[in-house]
Amino acid sequence: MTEPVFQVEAVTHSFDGVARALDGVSLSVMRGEFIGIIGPNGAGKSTLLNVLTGWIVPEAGAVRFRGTAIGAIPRRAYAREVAVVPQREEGAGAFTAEEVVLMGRYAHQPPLVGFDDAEDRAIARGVLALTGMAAMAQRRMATLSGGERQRVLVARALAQCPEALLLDEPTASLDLGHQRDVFGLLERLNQAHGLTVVAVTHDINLAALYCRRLIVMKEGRVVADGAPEAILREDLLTSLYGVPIDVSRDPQGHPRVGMLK
Amino acid sequence: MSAGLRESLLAGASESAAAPRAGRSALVLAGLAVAVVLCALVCPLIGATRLNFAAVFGIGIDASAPNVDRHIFMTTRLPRVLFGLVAGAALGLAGVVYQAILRNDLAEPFTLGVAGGATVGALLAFHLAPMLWAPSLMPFSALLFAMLAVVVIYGLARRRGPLSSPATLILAGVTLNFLFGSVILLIQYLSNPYQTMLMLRWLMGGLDTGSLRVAGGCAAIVVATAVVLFGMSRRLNLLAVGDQAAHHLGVPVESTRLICLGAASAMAAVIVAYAGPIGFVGLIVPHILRRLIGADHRLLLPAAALGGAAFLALCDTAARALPGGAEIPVGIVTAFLGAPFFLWLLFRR
Repeated sequence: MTEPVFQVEAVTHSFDGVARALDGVSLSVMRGEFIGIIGPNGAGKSTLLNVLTGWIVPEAGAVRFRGTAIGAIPRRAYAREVAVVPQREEGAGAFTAEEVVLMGRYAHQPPLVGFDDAEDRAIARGVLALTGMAAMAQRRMATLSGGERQRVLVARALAQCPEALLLDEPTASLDLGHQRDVFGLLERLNQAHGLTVVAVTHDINLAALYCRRLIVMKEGRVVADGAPEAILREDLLTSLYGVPIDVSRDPQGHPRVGMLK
Repeated sequence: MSAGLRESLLAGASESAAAPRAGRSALVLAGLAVAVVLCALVCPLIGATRLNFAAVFGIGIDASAPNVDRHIFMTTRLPRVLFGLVAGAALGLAGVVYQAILRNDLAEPFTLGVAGGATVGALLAFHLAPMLWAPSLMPFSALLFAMLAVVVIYGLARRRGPLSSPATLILAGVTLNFLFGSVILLIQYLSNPYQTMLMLRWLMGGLDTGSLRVAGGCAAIVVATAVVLFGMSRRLNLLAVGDQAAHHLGVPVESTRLICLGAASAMAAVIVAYAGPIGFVGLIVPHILRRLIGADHRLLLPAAALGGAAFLALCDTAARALPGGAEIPVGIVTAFLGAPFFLWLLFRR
């Protein structure tokens, strides 16, 4: 393998000083990995992601991006390397899809005012085309459906031309076709450009199809970490979610997880 | 890697025309600029005494005779209109900035209690300071108390949860206004009748305090802060989307908020110190302009400055041109227009 992109060392964090959202988490993310973070509600998945984005500064432990503590990297420099796709975002309603995507170019522009140049607009068109949103570029975000907004947020993150992409439930409001589109796009970018992908998701089956490494969390700890084929076992998942779970194989050989009544 | 993705995106991008709104936005900005220039030239001619444009500029009259038209134009009307333009620009800008940072389209200096704070500050200086010092102390005292109001509002907005909802922030502003209102009444009660009369007149919000020197001084402060805000315009776009989004996209959130709130509040406080609290300019103007040119602050900020300037100058001209020559204070006019507009915004949600 190559050098680690993210290093998380003994990270502990709590929001109210009582319950630990993260409890001594340590892991490394290598360049070009495609990782899914799964686990039940409240397991600390989103908290871990937000520690990687720098939004949450953990109470204890170290978080590094390519060897440098995340807190020591200027925001603009970090945004050129690491892009985030949030679960949802309410405040962009008055902006057009294209304007939102061009916001992804902020970190590449002069820090003050920063008007978009031809290259910024070309990149915006490119990512809107990649996410299938080109026809809706001039629509205001408030007039788009949940799934369309989600794809604009993916496009905005790609417009940052990042080294690594962090996604929080990127497919929560997408139908099956668009789930496949988004993860297929991430897989192509991962393979063609070595884009490092870390996605928090509830959709274990989608993660099993596209991710090559799964990190399983429960109560703020990493309880399993490895390839989907090795991780997705009935005993582990049953104890994880507390419901009887059946694991089979789909016709292509991917694990397929189903709940039993 | 990021270079590889960038190249492939650039290679894959098709040619396309500029955004359709770009032409329209340029047209709106140009129209507003023309409106401001026209206001500066035409508004001073209108009022209780109608002035002759030709006479004002000494065209076709006896140069040796006293030129009354020119005298009124230069010493009374022009300073007032110029001060109105500066004040309107400041209030328009402050409205846009508050609305972006607090993500609340009802926010402006008046509704948040910032203008009320500045009023208390100015009146305290007026009441307590020796007569000679009061005029120069009033802006600083106004700024101090405006900042106090901002700190309260900002503290509430930073809290997560239900307290930071748009309606709650406005309620907090209303409460601050009640508090400041009672302090204002107290100061008036403790003042002598002559001072009280002056305060009352000033509280109505008027531009007739404007001498060319005041207008020029305010213009310098407003231009300086406007330059700072324009430099922040791109960041304001990202902050308007959300703190977390702005953070992810590379904006240092805390420092940007402090710079923008500080600049906007300084602007508003200086205007309040000289003109009294003039409400709703920062509410009406940004709203109409957002409809016309969209939410991009790189265009919205200059548009709000120009639009606010023209709007306030026109309101003041209307106040001066009322039949009977009453020359009512402009704050009364903007409140008459603004209060129904505020209600409409409130119930449209």
